Amino acid sequence: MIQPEEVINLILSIVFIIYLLYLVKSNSRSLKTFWFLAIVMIFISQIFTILEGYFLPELFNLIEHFSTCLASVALLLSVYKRELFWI
Amino acid sequence: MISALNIFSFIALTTAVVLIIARLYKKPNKSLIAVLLAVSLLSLSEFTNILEHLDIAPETDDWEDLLEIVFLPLLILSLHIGMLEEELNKRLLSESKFEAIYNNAFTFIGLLDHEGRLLDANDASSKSIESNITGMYGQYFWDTPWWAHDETEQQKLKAAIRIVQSGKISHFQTTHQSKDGEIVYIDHSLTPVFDHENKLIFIIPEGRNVTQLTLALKELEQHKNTLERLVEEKTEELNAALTISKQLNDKLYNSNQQLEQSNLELKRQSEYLQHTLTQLQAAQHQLIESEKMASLGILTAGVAHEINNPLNFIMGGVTGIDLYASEHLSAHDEGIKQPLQSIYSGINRISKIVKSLNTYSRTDNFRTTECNINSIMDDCLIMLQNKWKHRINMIKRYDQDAIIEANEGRLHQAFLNLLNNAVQAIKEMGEIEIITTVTPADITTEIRDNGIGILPENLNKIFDPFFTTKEPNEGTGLGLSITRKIIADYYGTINYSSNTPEGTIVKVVFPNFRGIKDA
Repeated sequence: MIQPEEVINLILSIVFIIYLLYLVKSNSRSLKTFWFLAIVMIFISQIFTILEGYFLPELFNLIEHFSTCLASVALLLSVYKRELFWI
Repeated sequence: MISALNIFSFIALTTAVVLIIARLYKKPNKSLIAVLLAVSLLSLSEFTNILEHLDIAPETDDWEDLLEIVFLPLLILSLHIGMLEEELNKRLLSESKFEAIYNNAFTFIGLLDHEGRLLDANDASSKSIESNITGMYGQYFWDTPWWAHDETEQQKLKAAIRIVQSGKISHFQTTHQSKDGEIVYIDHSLTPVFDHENKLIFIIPEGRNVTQLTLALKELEQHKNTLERLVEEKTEELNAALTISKQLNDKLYNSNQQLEQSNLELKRQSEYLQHTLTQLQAAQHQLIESEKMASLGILTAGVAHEINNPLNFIMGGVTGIDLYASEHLSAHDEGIKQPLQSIYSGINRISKIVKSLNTYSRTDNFRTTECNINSIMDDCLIMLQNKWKHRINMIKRYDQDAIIEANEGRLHQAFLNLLNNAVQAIKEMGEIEIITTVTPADITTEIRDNGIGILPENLNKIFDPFFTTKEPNEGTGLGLSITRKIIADYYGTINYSSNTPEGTIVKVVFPNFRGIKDA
């Protein structure tokens, strides 16, 4: 069952992802960071959150949580390596 | 499975939150706060997920959806802030580098607007004047204190700015006045800066203090001028010396030429004197020889005369004895006749010798008579017979009428020399052939011997006075010289040819005046 919050969330995510692509275009170095990987994983998890309401709910739910887990690890590595601020 | 993933995610995110908080504690940073917020929200979302899946708080699902809407933009925003901060750091670093170079450079660097107003100047520029630099911003560059000391330099700067406004770089030498009031030399340049539309926006003035270099160059120039002057002076002196040297050289050359000419003249005179001396010596020897011959002639004539008188007595006595014996001693005719014949023979020989001596000793050197060359040859052979008889076969082939006009005594002397030489050339046994040939044109006398001959290298020297190949007691070296002179006096010529060791031929040719007259 689709929920309105999830659709809004997906639309906003698409907008922000477009903005993200615009940002990384000016600084391609960002593409190679764990932080960028984390964002992509979060975005994927949001897509599968919506998809699980229509098809293969258990599998897509698993993929959603797995993506979130990967994003969490990527964020931890990014923070640990100080790669975002180059301080 | 799902709960395990959520728990793992939660732990990872919580660890990240702790790390961010620790870093914020060490060094507060606004960007990190945004990151902390994003990671914390994600962590909280996971926590609510765990609660939901474990059925501890199922109603938290709405919270989770709300949190999911927020943390993605926050993550992207954090990334953007990080990128901006990185860019800012880069620019700050670049600016600090630029400032380090700009303000610590020795050269004067500034910035003008496109019309030449001062916008900025580095520390080196501001330290070179007393005035406050910030108070000068906005002034035209030529009105600033750097240019106030000299109006000419201001005009030069204005002209340079006009060049730069046309888009070219201007480079010129100028002067500034230092804080101490001293004039310093500046190597100045103005460089135009254009925007992306190729429009002039700034002018960068640059100046380097080249006072030491300029003063050194000026000093060098002075030294160079001094050196050039000295070189010029020395060159003039050298030219003068060269001119004098050239003149002296010319004089020396002329003197040398004169000396060489004098030397040549002296050499010629010396050679002439030497020749004259040689001739004088030859003449002296000839005179001595002539005197000797004259004395010998007188002596010979006296002796011949004194022999002739007793010879006449002897001849008369012998003739008387012969007549007496014929008349009174006919019985003893055979015994007497033989000795008398011997006496007659001896008397004849004495008579011939005396006659020859008379011919040889004639002292009337300048009186010429008709001389028979054949007779003269015979007389000479008689005089020399003790030298050749019994060892040399003498062959005579005379033409008749070999008669010339000459002094008989001198001619006798000449042929005696030639025959004496021929006899001396034959060391033991040999042969001498005497040939006289008479033609209407000339009278030739040839004396051929088969003696030792004359070496080719000596053949052209035999007429030289005092040249001889004989032993010291055998000849003086004057014989042939005198002979040639005598023959030449009577228009004759003498010629020697010799083939060592086959013998020698001497040919004497006189003109046949009688034959010419008859012709």
